[in-house]
Amino acid sequence: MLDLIINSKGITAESLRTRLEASGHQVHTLELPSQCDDLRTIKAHFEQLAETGECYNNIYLNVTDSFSEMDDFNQDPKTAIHLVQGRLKEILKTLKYGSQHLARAEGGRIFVLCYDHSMNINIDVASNPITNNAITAAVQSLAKEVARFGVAINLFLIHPPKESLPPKLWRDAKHDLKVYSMKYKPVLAEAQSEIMQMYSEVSNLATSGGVIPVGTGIAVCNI
Amino acid sequence: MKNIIVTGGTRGIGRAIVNTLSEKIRLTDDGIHGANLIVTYRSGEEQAKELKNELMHLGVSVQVMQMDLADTQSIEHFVTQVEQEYGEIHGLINNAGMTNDGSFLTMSDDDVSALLETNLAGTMFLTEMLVPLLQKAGTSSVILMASAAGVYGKEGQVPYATTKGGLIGYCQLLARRYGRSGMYVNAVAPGFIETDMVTELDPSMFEHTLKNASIGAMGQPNDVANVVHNLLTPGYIQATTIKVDGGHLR
Repeated sequence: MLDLIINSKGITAESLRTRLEASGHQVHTLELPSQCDDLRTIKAHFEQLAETGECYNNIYLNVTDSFSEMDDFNQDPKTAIHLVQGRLKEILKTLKYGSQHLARAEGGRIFVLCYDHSMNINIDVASNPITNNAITAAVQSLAKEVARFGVAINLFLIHPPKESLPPKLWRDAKHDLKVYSMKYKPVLAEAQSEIMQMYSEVSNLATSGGVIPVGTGIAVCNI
Repeated sequence: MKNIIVTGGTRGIGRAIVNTLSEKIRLTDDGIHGANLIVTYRSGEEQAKELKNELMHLGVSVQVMQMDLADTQSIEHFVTQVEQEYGEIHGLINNAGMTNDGSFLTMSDDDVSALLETNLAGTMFLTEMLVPLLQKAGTSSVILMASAAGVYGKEGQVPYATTKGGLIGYCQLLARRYGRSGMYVNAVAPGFIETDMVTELDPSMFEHTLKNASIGAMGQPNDVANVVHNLLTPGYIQATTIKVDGGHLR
């Protein structure tokens, strides 16, 4: 399988790459110039690959990298709005050109990776509700448009992996949640990658337009 | 005296909101009795004048002002005027927006950008500019007009749904930032509502959706307007999105 990971930095994306390569996938990476309005990069990348006659099976768009809308808005709303706008332009273009690429190749899968923004209530992690909800709506809408081309699009809503934060934060969060029957149990990035790999290898993926929660103990976006 | 802003209030759902609020303003036992209405429009000056005359004739205190969400200078000018004239804002109904439907794979990047600019960035910029005036009021309510497409997606509306999903997220973010200082923030997500914007569409675009709704028919602009009116005094409702879509079971 030939896969592409867009924005390959960070614990989650790096773990996914390791996992895919260990399973025999050939993995390309592409770093998008963050917040850049000139997004010819992504279109050119797909065109370049198409010229060689190759095409991707799976495209992973990693949106878990280090940004926090909550912090951005608290610092300077005007800049924060500009950043959100740039990020969504980038993501929509990626989904568009990625879908076109896969449609020409008679099918494939796109997975968007986001961190669950409601986690911020319990743990001091980045919270990006605007981007997350915007992408969710985009994925749900686009999945309906491209299903006929054999393209499946899903979103993984991921709890931050265990390695990403100091143990004390997990312990405190777990302590705060003791009244609930389901206690929070942090999961290793490797275990999360295993699930994401599984979705890329299922022979007939019967899920598209889905928001797939990857984490334990807290219901998705349950504030 | 309360001051309430309705953006995009001269047409469609916005007009229904203005009509409903102007009725309530005249009721002595309503929470917004006697409020001043500030209505914005982007184009259609004649329509705006008619609206102003109509409401003034009914005895409603109203200002109808031109503002374009795609133009930050226009927003800044509007906010300056509002600040000078009213000083504080108790209700902000972010209704204005645009749509551009079609296949996403063939839609131009410029069209996508225009939707992001107006529906999401423009709405957030206006709201952020008004935050000091909302806080001055002590207790205030911000209502964001999302869409059912932003809740569960809609083919042919990828960028539009993206902007509306973004507004749902912004509702959560704004409530987290100011919920403890008297600001209520909620969103409304209409499904197919019988406005000019929808009735101009090819029925094939919405018939299957209507069939899937529990009610099985289009909603009326007043259905949305009534929810918006209730959210001006939301009580314990905060950071949520209320669907007004005839009952889609998802």
